[in-house]
Amino acid sequence: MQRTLSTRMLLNRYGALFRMPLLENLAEVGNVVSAVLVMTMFMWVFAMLWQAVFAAQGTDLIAGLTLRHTLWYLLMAELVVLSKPLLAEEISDSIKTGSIAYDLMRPLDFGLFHLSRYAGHVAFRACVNLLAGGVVVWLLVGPPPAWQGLFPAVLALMLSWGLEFCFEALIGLAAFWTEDISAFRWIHQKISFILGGLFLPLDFYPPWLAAVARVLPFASIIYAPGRLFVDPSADRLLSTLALQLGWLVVLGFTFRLLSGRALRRLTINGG
Amino acid sequence: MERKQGLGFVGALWRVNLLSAMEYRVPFIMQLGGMMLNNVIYFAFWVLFFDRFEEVQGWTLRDMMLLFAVVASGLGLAMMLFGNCRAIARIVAAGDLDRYLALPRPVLLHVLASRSSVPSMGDFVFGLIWFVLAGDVTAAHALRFLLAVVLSACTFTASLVLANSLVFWLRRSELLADHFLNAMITFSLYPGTLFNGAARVFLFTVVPAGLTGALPVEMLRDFDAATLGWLCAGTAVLAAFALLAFQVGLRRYESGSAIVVRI
Repeated sequence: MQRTLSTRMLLNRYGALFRMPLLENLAEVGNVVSAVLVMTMFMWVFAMLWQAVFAAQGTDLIAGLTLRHTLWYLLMAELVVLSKPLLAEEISDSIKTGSIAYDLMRPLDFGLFHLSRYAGHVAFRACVNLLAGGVVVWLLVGPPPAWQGLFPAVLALMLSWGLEFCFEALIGLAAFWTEDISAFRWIHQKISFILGGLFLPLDFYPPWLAAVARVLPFASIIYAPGRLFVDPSADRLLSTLALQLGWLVVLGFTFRLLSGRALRRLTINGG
Repeated sequence: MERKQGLGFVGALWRVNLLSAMEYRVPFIMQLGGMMLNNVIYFAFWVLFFDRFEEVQGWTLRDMMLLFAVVASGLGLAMMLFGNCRAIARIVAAGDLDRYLALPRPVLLHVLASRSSVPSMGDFVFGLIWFVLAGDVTAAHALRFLLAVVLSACTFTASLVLANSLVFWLRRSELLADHFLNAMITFSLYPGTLFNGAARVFLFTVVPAGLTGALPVEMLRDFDAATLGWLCAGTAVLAAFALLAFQVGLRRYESGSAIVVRI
C-alpha cells in the first residue's frame, strides 16, 4: 500500500528544515556581529568611493542616479550576495565525504531539502544585513529614495535568491564529475559580480554591455532587486519578475535534470 | 650554523608543500588557473569604472593595475610561503599547536611554513603578469616592484599573525581573523587617496591595508626614500608586534591533550 504524504505534513517537514538554520544563526552571536561589521565596512568604502566620484564629476546625477540612489542600490546588491550561505561548498563536501548518503536516506526531496535550509539561512542573514547596512547608508546619505519600492524589491529578492540557489546547487553537483569545485565557484562569483552590477550599477556600463548584461540571469539576481528598490514602477516590476521567473524555470529544470543524473552516478563505499 | 639549519628546515617544508600540492595535478592546475581568471574578471570592474570616469582622486586605470599587481603578488607570496598565517587561530582553538611545540624548531616559523596555498600561487603569477601589462618595465621599476611585493607580503603575514594571535586571549576568534583578512584585502584594493583623516589613520593602524597596497603603489609611482622608509618602518613595527603577541600569547596556551597520530 502506498502512502501519500499530505501537503500539511510536507510543509511541516520542510518548515522544520527552514527553522533549523534560523535557530543555528541565532545561537551564534559571533555571526551576527561579523555580519554587521562586514556590511558596515563595505558600505563605508562604497560611500567614500562614490562621494569622490560624484564630487569629481561635479554633478548630482550620473546615468539617472543620484548618490543616494547609488548607495541604496549598492546596499541591496550587497544584501543579495552577503546573505546567501555557501551551498555549493556544502553539497560538494557532502559528496566528497560521502555524507550525502545520509541526506538521501531521509524521506525528503534532495532539492527541496537544500532549498529549505538555504531559505532559512538567507532569511536570518538578510534581516541582519539589511538592518546593519540600512542604518549605515541612512546615516551617510539619508533615507531610501522611494519607500514604495520596498515591497516589489522584497518580491524580486526572493526570486533572485531562488536563482542563486540553482546556480550554487549546480556548482556543488559538479563535484560528482571533478575533484575540486573551487575554480567554478570563484569564476561564477566574479562573473555574477561584474555582469550582475555588484560594484557598479549596470546603468553606468557602456550601453552595449548593459543591454547584454540586463537579459542575463546575473542581472536578475543582483541588479534587478536594487534597481527596483530605488526606482520602482509597475513596468519595471512586471519586466523584472517575468525575466526572473523565466530564468528560474530554465535553471530549475537544469538543476532537476543534472541532479537526477548525478545521483545515479553515486557509489557509496563502506559504512 | 643554527641560522643555516633553520633556513634548510623552512626550505624543506616549502619543498614538501609544493610536492604535495602538485601530487594532484588536475586540481592544482584548476586552482592556479582558476584564481588567475578570477582576478582578471574581478579587475573588469575597474576597467568598466575607469572607462566611465577616467580617474578618481588622481588614480587612473594604470595605477589600479599596479595596485592589483602589488596586492595580488604580495598576498600570494605570503600565502605561498607562510600559508598558515591565516589559520593560527583555528590551529590554537583546536589544540593542534601541540604537534609544533613537541619539536625542536621555532614554533611560529614552523607553524607558518607548514602550509602553502595553491590558489595563492595563481595570485602571485597574476600579479607579475599585471605588472608587466601595466607597462614601464625597466630594471629599476621591476626592482622597486619586487621590493614592494616583498614588503606587502611581510605586512600581510605580520598583520595576520597579530590578528590570529588574539585567539590566546579571546578563545574563539577564528571568525574575527577571517573578517580581518577580508578587510585587509578589501581596503587594499581601493585607491589610497579615497581615504583621508581618521579613515587614513585607521588604514595604517587597526587594519594596515595602506601598507599592503596604497603606500607601495605610491612608492612605485613616484619613488622617494622617505616613502620607502615609512613602508619599511611600518612593516618592521608590525612584524615586531606580531612576534611579541605570538610569544606572549603562547605562554597562555593550554594543550588540548588530543592524541593524534601524525604520519
